[in-house]
Formats: sequence, structure tokens, C-alpha cells
Amino acid sequence: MAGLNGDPFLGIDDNIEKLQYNNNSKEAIDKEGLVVGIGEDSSNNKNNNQGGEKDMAGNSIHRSGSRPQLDLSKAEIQGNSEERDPTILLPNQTDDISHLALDIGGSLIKLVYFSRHEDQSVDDKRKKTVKERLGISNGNRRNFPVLGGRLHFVKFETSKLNECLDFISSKQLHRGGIDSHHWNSEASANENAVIKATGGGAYKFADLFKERLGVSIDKEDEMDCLVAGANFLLKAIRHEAFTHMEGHKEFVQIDHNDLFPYLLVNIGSGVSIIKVDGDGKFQRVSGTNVGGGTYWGLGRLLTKCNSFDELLELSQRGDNRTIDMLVGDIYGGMDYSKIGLSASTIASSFGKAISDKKELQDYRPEDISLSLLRMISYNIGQISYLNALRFGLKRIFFGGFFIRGHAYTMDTISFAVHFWSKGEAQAMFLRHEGFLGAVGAFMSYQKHGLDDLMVHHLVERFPMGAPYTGGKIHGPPLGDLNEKISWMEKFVLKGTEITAPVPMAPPGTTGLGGFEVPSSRGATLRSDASALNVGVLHLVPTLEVFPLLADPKMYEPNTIDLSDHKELEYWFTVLSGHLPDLVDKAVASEGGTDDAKRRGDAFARAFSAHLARLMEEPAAYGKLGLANLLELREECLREFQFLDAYRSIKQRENEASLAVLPDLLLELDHMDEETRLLTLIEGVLAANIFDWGSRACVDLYHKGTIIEIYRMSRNKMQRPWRGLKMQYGF
Amino acid sequence: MDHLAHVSNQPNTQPQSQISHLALDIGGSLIKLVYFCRYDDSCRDDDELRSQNESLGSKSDNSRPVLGGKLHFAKFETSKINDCLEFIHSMKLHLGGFHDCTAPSSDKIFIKATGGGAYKFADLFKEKLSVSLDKEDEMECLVTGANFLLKAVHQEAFTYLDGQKEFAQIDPNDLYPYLLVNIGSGVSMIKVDGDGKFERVSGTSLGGGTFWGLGRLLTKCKNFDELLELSHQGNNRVIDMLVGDIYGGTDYAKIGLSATTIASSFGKAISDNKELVDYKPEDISRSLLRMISNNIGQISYLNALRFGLKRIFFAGFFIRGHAYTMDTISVAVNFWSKGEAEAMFLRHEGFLGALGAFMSYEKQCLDGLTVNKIPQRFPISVSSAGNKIYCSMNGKSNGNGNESIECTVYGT
Repeated sequence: MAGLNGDPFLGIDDNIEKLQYNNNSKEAIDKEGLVVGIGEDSSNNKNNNQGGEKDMAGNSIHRSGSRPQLDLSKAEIQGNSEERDPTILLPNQTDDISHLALDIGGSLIKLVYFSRHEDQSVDDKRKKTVKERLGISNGNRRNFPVLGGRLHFVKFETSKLNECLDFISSKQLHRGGIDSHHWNSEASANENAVIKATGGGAYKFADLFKERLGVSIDKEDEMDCLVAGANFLLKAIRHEAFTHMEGHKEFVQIDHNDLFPYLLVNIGSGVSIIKVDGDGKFQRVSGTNVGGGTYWGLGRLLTKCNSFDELLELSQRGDNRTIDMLVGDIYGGMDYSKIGLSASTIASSFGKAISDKKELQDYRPEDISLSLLRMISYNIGQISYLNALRFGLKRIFFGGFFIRGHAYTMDTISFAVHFWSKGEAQAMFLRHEGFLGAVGAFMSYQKHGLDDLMVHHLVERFPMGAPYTGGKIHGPPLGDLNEKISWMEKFVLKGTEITAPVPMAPPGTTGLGGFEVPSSRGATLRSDASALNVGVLHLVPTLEVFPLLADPKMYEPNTIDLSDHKELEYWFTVLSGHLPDLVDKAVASEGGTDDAKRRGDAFARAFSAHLARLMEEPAAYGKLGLANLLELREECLREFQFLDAYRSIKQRENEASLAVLPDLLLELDHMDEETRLLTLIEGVLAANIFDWGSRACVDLYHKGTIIEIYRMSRNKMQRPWRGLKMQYGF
Repeated sequence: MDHLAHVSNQPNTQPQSQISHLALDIGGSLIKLVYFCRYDDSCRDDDELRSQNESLGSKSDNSRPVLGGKLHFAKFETSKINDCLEFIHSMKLHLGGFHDCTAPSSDKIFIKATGGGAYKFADLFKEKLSVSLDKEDEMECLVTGANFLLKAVHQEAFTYLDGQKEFAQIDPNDLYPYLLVNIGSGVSMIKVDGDGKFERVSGTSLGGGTFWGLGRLLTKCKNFDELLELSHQGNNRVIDMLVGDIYGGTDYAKIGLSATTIASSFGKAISDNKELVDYKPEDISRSLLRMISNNIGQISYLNALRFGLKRIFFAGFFIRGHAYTMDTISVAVNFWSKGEAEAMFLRHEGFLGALGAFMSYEKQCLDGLTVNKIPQRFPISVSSAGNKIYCSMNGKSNGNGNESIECTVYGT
């Protein structure tokens, strides 16, 4: 499996075809599809888009009524898994619709909005040119007329609703997105525009939306949306769910057929606990009023923090023992072992604050924050477990914006569930935790189409889309490439220093009631500005499961798993060491203009920042494999419109290859059948190994191990690859 | 402690006539004392006492020495343990311990104690009072105390809903199983299946200590009772985020949440416009109280449900007979159980542990005590035979945990 080629050039014969089907080249496919939609169809509608595509029509659009709808068929998450707010690509989306769904909660407004790639037509033209020049037809490759796009995930504080309205307005999201003029006819624009929204604010602020944006809010039930969102994410995204115990994060592969029933705990301002039995089949069985709002509300009163995130960050440096009364405090440092309580178990949250000797200002805000966080997380874990127990549910998924991927919060919840269930129940977390309701509201634009969605159609990509702010908007949205570049220049240091990966916390030594201090302190909580983790979910309808896989569900395409730290460090070093050379190549591929240089610089900043982020938290975007890293680099290049850094080289090589092709064919023709077959196989093999471009292959080559393979198939050729190996090899 | 004490002149194995018996429950925030006083000078009605004693004596097993008197209940903050020691010393309560029966010649005096402080402060007691603390298991004491009260004390348990207090008739033969929720600094939830048969099934760290600790930080109140008092005048809607706040004043009827349901405790405090000083302490106290009471009620119910228990008894010093606290807990249990489970409260809520420790004297081979009720005032049936301790509540029925129980103690 030529799984790892970040550099899909490959001089020979079938490579172009391969490129198009290759798992790692799906981006190219997306784009090609997109181009059809955007570039050529621009203002027209989907009928054209679907022209060449028979089998898409089947599951793409079932329109009902006059309400604009989204086509979610074959939605795909991009790249690897991402952090909390990945974006989803909807290649089949072709209608003019509202591109926005909201979940307006008590503390936060969550937006899910749809955007499309801006730069696809260019890409397509170039591809075409290459193809034309190479004289390669598409052959039987299906030309998918899919429209691509991404689901973005953004949040605002509800108290700053105006910022949210400004954001929507500036991006024209209520009119179908910033580039709606491409494809949205003027007439249809927002006379009766309707936005799907859920959460209490959908009721409360409906008038305001009407007044400010001229749109009506179509209210979707909150629980419906939560469940729809969770079901979608759990089914559609490969690494959506994970466990988090004692600082150790582990992704969980959920079998679609064995998903239900489960308990969904959504921790927003308050907490809803929902038993989910199937799509649309659920019951809110419990809840608690001690939730995220309590943490932030009490935290604000007690610490003067200015934001939830600040408060959460404080907790990283806290020691709750100064303020909580522990069993040991009561028992003079002893355990109360008879009932299984260790000395470090919290007997009473804030119980030490009853002391006369200390006032509020005598306590460190860090300690207060941690104590609050533990109290609330633990309580939620406990109540959730008790409800799971009630219904015999083994799986508990926690979502909601309270968690924010915060390691300690998750550890605490997991600990509570583990402790009370004696290990029988398991707490799991969702990477899109905060956006369940918003995703569900988005899904409600069209209630069908999702059934067709297969995990393999959804590829989660690294978050390339602007804004690069971890889901939170600072300043104006980054509309075009230029803004993006400016943003990178302004906020991201070039050549961000890449340090060694933060070692995983050693398995904590938590006693019976233990769980002393956060075992996952580290810098796992990122302030918004530095978190480059707005994820992207892309739909790649062209992907199919290889039919001969023994166990498709368990198949892991990544052959190099970067959860091995040595491996991770090695590849990070290689990639960052390679960066200057790559930038040079990329700039050259775009003619070496000043503009190209500027873009190249921005690319270097962005990619370095991504690497730095991943170095800090390798699992930030889900389980990390080498293929994902290479893909990240490719996508990052494309983000700054380097459509193919190796284009000129590939061109040269392809031309050279084609020049010798007749000779090779002639030679092959003269072989007897057996030799010919062998030679062909060797040739393919050699190409494929070379395709990896990894140092290991180069080493193999140098040691002569595979030289024999080459010799047979290539000794008549000019060996175009010889001069290139250093460019692609790592 | 203005109740009558009854004294009989039966000799005790203890030589001194002023002997009292003392048991302690030293918790994280409070020290609870239960002590038995025979006649002392403060008792005012010797004649009545005498006549009562006579009648009592006639009913009692004459072969046993009878001590009339009352059980007193007192509490101190754990942080002021010196006050407590002084109190014990001045009352000479520590002299009423027992001697080690295996070493009768020893002068070592033991006092029954439970709670974490029995371990933590053992040395201090040794040093200051020259007594050893004989440590009794906390849960065992709680359960013993609760079983005793529920069986022996008339109108010990009551429900409290919508401001209506109603005494529960507990049939001692149909008492088990029940869930005992002891709300001290933290909360213990114990499934009780019989005398000495119990299991701590759950608990939560959001308890009385949390209310008082957070309350102190947020309001500058000087003591727990003041904080509790404040909550009377408070309005939690100022600071809690209600369903109606989120839904623009409407209910979320589909899932049965009314507009006034608290969606998020302290959820309104996230507002940028107000700082701590802008909130009234009354409102903060009310909001805290509701948060913690509701949470305890909910977790208790979930545990009762788990074991199919219909009765939940709430005790511990957090409650303090406070109407709103009980109301909130009751509402929580009622809401979550859809009316199927019932929250009940104990009038001696704060003293279960101490009482249980006191009962444990009974087990000692020397100076064992038997407390019997005084039958004339609240003649509850002595049907709880087999339990050697009988008593009746004296006088007040307002659920204030500080009252005394008149009783008779039999020396063995």
C-alpha cells in the first residue's frame, strides 16, 4: 500500500491513476470534484454538478418542500482526527441553503457553519493542464461532481451575542456563506432565510436575530439535537471517542452496530443526562444543576478570573488540598480503610475553608479553581454513573463545553466513574464535545442522507481553515488567503521552536480513593490564541473500503504509529529539518515570485505551528499516524495555494519517463511471458516502494537490497528517480 | 438543657456519685458530645424525679442498678477543640469513662469516641485530660445511633415537604432496609439492613463543609448558623441560572423542566457586569444551600433506587432542622423519584455518631450502661425488646438536635 506518499508524482505509467484513487490523495479528488462545482458551475445549480455522476444522485439529495437543505451524503471528516472542533466536508452539497446552525446555550453560543474552499478552480485548472500535457485521460475514473466544503465550529459567549451576530454578518453566513455569490442566485438570498437553532437562546434571542440579521430562527429541540449530533459524530468519525484515565488518552473504535444503548452526558451550563437507544430514540433521564455554569460562576466570584479558560488554566497549577478537607485531615493523616477511603480522598469540598484563620484572599486562586473543578467533575461523574447503573449502561459519553479537552477534568470524571462502578463502567469523551447540539441542529436541515454515511467516507483532516484560533474568534474572520497570510505573519512565529514531545504522564499511583493531584498537568490546556486546532471534517465519497480486507473495521491504514515517542520524535525532527528545503521547492514551483515567497513563509509558520502543537499533544487531532503527518503537510501547502511543491520536478520526470516508455514497452514485448510478468511486478514494486519516499527506502536502496529490483525493470531507463531521491526521501 | 434529670440512688460500680458518661463524635467541622448526667445540682425537681424513679424502678428489672438521668447533647467546632476539652474538664465528664476490664487495677480511663478526630486528637485527649479515646467505627456508630433513635424515640423521624412537618410512624419491625444519609462536612450514604448490618454505599464531598466553606469565602459570615439564617431572606434566582433564563421565560415542557427549575447553580454569576460584592450574601447563601441540598437529595435518591429502598433518612449537622434545607432535599427526592421515595429527617440528626458511640459502652464488660426510657412522659411502647436501650424524647418536638433525652441507665 503506497499509503504514505506525500509526494504523489511518480514518473511512471499508472501513477496518475493511482494518485487519484490513493487514500492519501483524496484531497486532490475533493478538489477536482469541487472544481466542477465551483469553477464551472459557479452560479448555476446542482444539476450540472451531478452531470457526470450517476451513483451520486442516488443518495445525495432528497428534497422536500421548499426549505433549502444540505446534502450531507458522503460527508467526510478530513485528515486525521482533530481536536474539539473539526470541520466536515460536504462534497455533495449543491443547493443554496442556510449554511449555519446554532446552539445558543446559557453561557456559550456554538456555531456550526459550512464553508467552501476558495481556491479550488485554480487547482483544477492546473491539474487539468498537467493531465492534458501528459496526455492522460481520466480513463474510467469517475469524475465526481461534488461540491466540497467544511463544517466549522466556532463559539461565542452568550453574553457577547453581538460579537456572534457581527461574525455571522461579516461572513454572510446567514445568506449562505461568504462566497455565496458564486453559486447562490441573488434572488433566493435570504428573503425568508431560516437558520436552524437549538438551545434555550433559540427562543430567547429569536427576535434579535430577526431584527439584526433579518433571519428567522427555526427552533430545534435541544435534546433531539444533542442526540443527533452525538450519534452522527460517533458513527461518522473514526476517532471521535476516547477514554482519558490518569493522563492517558486512548481512542476508542466504536462499532456502529454496537453503539446503542449508551448514556450521553452533556455538560453545558447545567448537565443533561440522556439515555440514547438509537437514532431519535432517547430519554432525558436525569441531570444536575451543578455544571459548567457553576464552575465558571463560582469561579468568577471567587477568583476574579476574566474567562472560563483562564479559570481552567489556573487549575493546572492548583493544589486542592489547601482548601478541600480530605479524609486524612479528619483522620489525622490516616486512611479510613474500612470503607475504602484513602487519606487523600476528599471528604468535603471546600471543607477547609471553614477555618477562621483564612479569608478568601488568603487562598490561591489556583487552588480554588482546582478544588471547584474537582468538586464539579467528580459530582458529574458520580451522578452519571448512578444513572448508567440504573439502566445497565456500560458506556457513558461525556460532551459539552465544560470539558474543553481539559485533561484534569476528564481524569476526574473518569476516576469518579471508575471508582464508583468499580471499573465496570467507562467514561468516554467526544472530541467535538462542545458542538453536539449545534451539529444536531445542522443535521436537522436534512434528516436523511446520514444513514448512508460510512466511516470510510469521512476523513478528518487537520484544521487548516481560518481562523486559526481554536474555535474562538478573535478579530475579523479570515476571509481570503491574504488575510490568512497576514494572520500567520502577525501571530505565528516563523520556525516555531519544536521541542521534544511532552512525555505522557506516568500511570498515576492513585490509591483506593486516591487521585491526589492532576497526573496530567503539562501544558495540555491551551489558550485560544495558540491552539491551532479548528478541525476539519471532510467527506470523500470516492473512498471505498478495499473489499479484500479481512477485517475492515479493525484495519488501521497507518503502518507507523506515532504513539511511540521515539518514532514521533524521529519524524518530527525529519519533517522540521526538511522544511526549509520544502519551502524553497514550493516557492520555486510557483515561479519564485515575491507573492510565492510570502506564501511560502506563511506556510512555514503555519506548518511549524502545527508541528509544535502536535509535539506538545500528539493526540490533539486524534490518533496520530505518520500518514496523517504527511497529509498535514500537504494540506498546509495547499492552504497557501502551493498546489504541488514538486510540480515542475514531477513534470520533468514524467516527461522523461514517457520518453523512455516506448523503449521499455518494446523491451517488455520481447520478453517471454514469464519474465515479462516478473519484470512488470518488479517494476510496480520498485515504484511503489520508491513511492514511500521514506528514508528507510533510501537506505534500502543504498545498501543494495532493492537495487536488484530496480535493475531488472529500470536499467534501460534514464532513471529519473535517481536524482530525485534526496528530494523526496526524508 | 433545661430538662429534668432523674436519678436513682442505686450504686454504680463507679465509686463516685457524680459520674457521668461521655461519648464523642469528632468530625471534620464539629465535635458532638453525648453525655449522661445523673442527678446534679441543676436538677430542680427532686420530688418528681423520685416518684418517677419509683415508677420506673417498678417496671424495671430490679436486679440491675438503675441510674436515672438524662442524655445531654452538645457540640463544638472542631477548630475550637480546646473549648471542648475545657468543657469536658469542667464538667468532669472524662471521669465517667470506663476502665479496662482486662486490667482492673489500671487507672487508665477510656472514653468512647468516633469520627476521624478520634484518631487525630487521641494524643491531645491523653495529654489534656489523661484519658484514652476508645475508637469506635464511624459508620457503625452512625447506624447504631440511627437505629436506636428510630426504634426507641417516639416521633424521631418526620417528613418535611412544602413547609409541612409530619411525624412518621415507624414500625420498628418494619424499619429495614433503609438508606441513611449522614450529612456532616462530607456526606456518607449507608444502606442499613439491621442492627450492625450495613454498608456504606456511596457518599459525596459536597456536604456541610462545602456549604460553610464556600459560604464563608463568599459572604464573610462568621458562623454556619448565621449563613443558614441568611439564606432565609435570600433569592437564588438572582444568581442561579434558571431554565426560564435560558428559554426566555418559558418552560422546557418537553422534558418536564419548569421555567423556575435551576439549570445551573451560580450560572448567572458568569455575568461580566457583576462582581462578588454586587451580590447579596442572602442570595448567595440561598443559592449555595439549594445547590448542595438538591445535589445530596439527588444522589441519595439514586442510591436508594439502586437498592430499591423506599425510605431515606437524612441526618447530620448540615441540616440543623433548617426548614428550607429539608424542603430542598425533600423536593429533590420527590422530583427524581417521581414521588416514589420519601425523604425523612431525624430530630437528633447531628448526634447519631455520638449516640452510637455512647451505645457502644454497652458492649464493654465493665461499667456497661443501659439506657432506658422514662416512660411517663411519652410512654412509647417498650416493644423494641431485645434492644436494651429505651428512651423517650423529652418535651420539645421541634426537631432541635440540642435537646436532651431523659433516660435511665442501668449499670450492669
